[in-house]
Amino acid sequence: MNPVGQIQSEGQVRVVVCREGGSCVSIVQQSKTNWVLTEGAFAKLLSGLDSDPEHAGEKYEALRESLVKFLDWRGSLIPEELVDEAFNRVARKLDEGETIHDLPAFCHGVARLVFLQSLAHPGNNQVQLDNLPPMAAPGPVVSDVRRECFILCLQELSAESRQLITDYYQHEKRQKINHRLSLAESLGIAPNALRCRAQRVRDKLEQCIMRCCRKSNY
Amino acid sequence: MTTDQQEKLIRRYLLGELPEAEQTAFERELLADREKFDRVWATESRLVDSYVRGEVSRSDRERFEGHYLASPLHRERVAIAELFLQDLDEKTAEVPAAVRQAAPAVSWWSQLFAPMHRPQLPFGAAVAILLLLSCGAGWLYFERTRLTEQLVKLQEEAQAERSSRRQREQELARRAQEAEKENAGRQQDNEQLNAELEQFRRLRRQPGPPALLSFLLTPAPTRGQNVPPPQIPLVTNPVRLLMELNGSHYPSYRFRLQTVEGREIFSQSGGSGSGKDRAFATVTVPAGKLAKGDYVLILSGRTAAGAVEEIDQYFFQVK
Repeated sequence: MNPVGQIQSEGQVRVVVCREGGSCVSIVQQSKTNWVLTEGAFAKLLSGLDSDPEHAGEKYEALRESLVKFLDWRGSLIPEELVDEAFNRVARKLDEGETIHDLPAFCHGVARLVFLQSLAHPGNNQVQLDNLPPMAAPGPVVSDVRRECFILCLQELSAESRQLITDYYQHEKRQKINHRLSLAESLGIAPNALRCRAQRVRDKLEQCIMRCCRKSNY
Repeated sequence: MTTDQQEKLIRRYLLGELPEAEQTAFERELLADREKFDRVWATESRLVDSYVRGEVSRSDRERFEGHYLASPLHRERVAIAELFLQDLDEKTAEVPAAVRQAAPAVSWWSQLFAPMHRPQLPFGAAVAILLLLSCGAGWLYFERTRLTEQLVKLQEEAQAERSSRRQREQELARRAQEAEKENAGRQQDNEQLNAELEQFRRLRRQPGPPALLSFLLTPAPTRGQNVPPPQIPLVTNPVRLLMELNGSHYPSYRFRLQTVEGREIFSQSGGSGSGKDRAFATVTVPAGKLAKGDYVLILSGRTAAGAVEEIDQYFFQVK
C-alpha cells in the first residue's frame, strides 16, 4: 500500500492511499490544527496495524468501518469525519514517536473522545423526534427525491447484488430463516457470510441514496 | 451467554440503554470479534425493518423513537428502509402473479370468471361486469382517500397533542424553576436575617468596657482615733483609688498595695492629678486583684533626686 499523495481543498487535507489491486482508502486532515497529516505519518499508522502492507490496508478499512458504525450507533451526524479526525490524531502521536501497543483499542478510545467533543457543538447533537419542528418532517418533494435516488441507486448495483438483497430480505420470520439457509447453500457460502454480504450491499445502497439526496440539495 | 441474551444485549446497545462503560466495553468486544460486529449491524437492520413494518412492541417503539430516531442519519436510514421494503413487497407480490400466469392449473378465480371467456357470453353481460368492476374500483378509491384523510387528521391531532403536552411540560418546568428560584431567594433572606440576629445576640452577650469605680481613701487614723476604715464593695471591675495629697508634691508617686498581714498584692508607679483646690494621687487596681479582706495602700513619693519617701498609709476594707 503506497500513499499516492495529498489533496488539499477547503480546509481539508486528504491523503489517498491505493493498493496494488486498485482499491483506495483515504484519510482526512482537517486544518483546525497546525499539524498536517503526512504520508509518513499515515504509513506509520498502517504499519502499526500490521507489518504486511496488504493486511494493514485491510485492517485499516475494517477498523475504520467499525469505528464509523460505533459513532453512527451512538447517534453522530458525521461519523466518518469524526473517525478520520481520530485517525489523524493517532497518526500524529505515532509520528511524534509515541509507542502505542493496542492500536485498534487506542483508535477506538480516541474516536470516542472525538465524538464526545463533537457533542459540544450544537449542530452535532441528537434531536429527540418529539422536539423536531414540524418543518423537519419530510415533505412530498423530499420523498420524491429519495424515491428517485432509490431507483437510481438500485440500478447502479450489479444484477447479482440486486438479486442478493431482494432474495435475502424477502419472506417473513421462519420462512425467512429457511429461505436464507437455502440461499446460502445455493451460493456455497456460510449463513454468516451471506448475512455479511447482504448487509454490505444494503449499506452500499443506503450510502448511494444518501449521497444522491445530498447532491439533489434537499 | 445464550443467543437470546446476546440479542437482548445488542438491542439494548442499539437503543442506547447501556451505560457508557458497558457501551465502551461492548464496542471493544465488537472490535475484536468481527462476526459479532456483523451480527450487531444485521440486528440494526432487522430492528429498522421491524419498526418500518410496525412489528415492534410499544415499549420498543418508544425506545426506538426516543433514542435511535434522535439521529437524523438514522431517520434517513429508516426512510430508505421504507422504500426498500416497499419495493421488496411489490416484487414479492409480482412473483406469484407471474407464477399464476405461467401455471397451467386453473384457479378458483379463473373458474369463477370462466364464463366470461366463452365466446357465447352475451355482450351486455360483459358490459355489466365491467361497470360493476368500475364501480368497485371507484368505491375503493373513494374509501382509500377517505382513510388517508382520516389518517392525516389523526396524525395532525397526535402532533398537536404532542406540542400541547410539550408546552405544558415546559410551562411546568418554568414554574418549578421560578418557585425554586423564589425559595432560594427566601432562604438567602432567612440566612441573612439569622446572621444579623446572631450578630446582634453576640453583641448583646459581649460585655462592655468594664466600669471603673473610684474610691477616695483617707490616711490611716492617728492613734486614739477610733474611725473604721473605708469600705469598698467587692466588685469584678477595676477600682480607682484616690488619695488626697495634703501639700506633699513629688514628681512621681509609688503605690504598694498589701494585705494587712503584709503580703504585697500590687505595686505601681504613677502620677498625680488635681481637682479644684485639691491634689490627688491616683492608682487603678486591675480587676480581680482585690478579694474580701483588709488592705493597706502605702503611698510613697519619689523626689527629683531619686529618693523615695513614704507619704502615708491608707487602710480600707473590701466587703
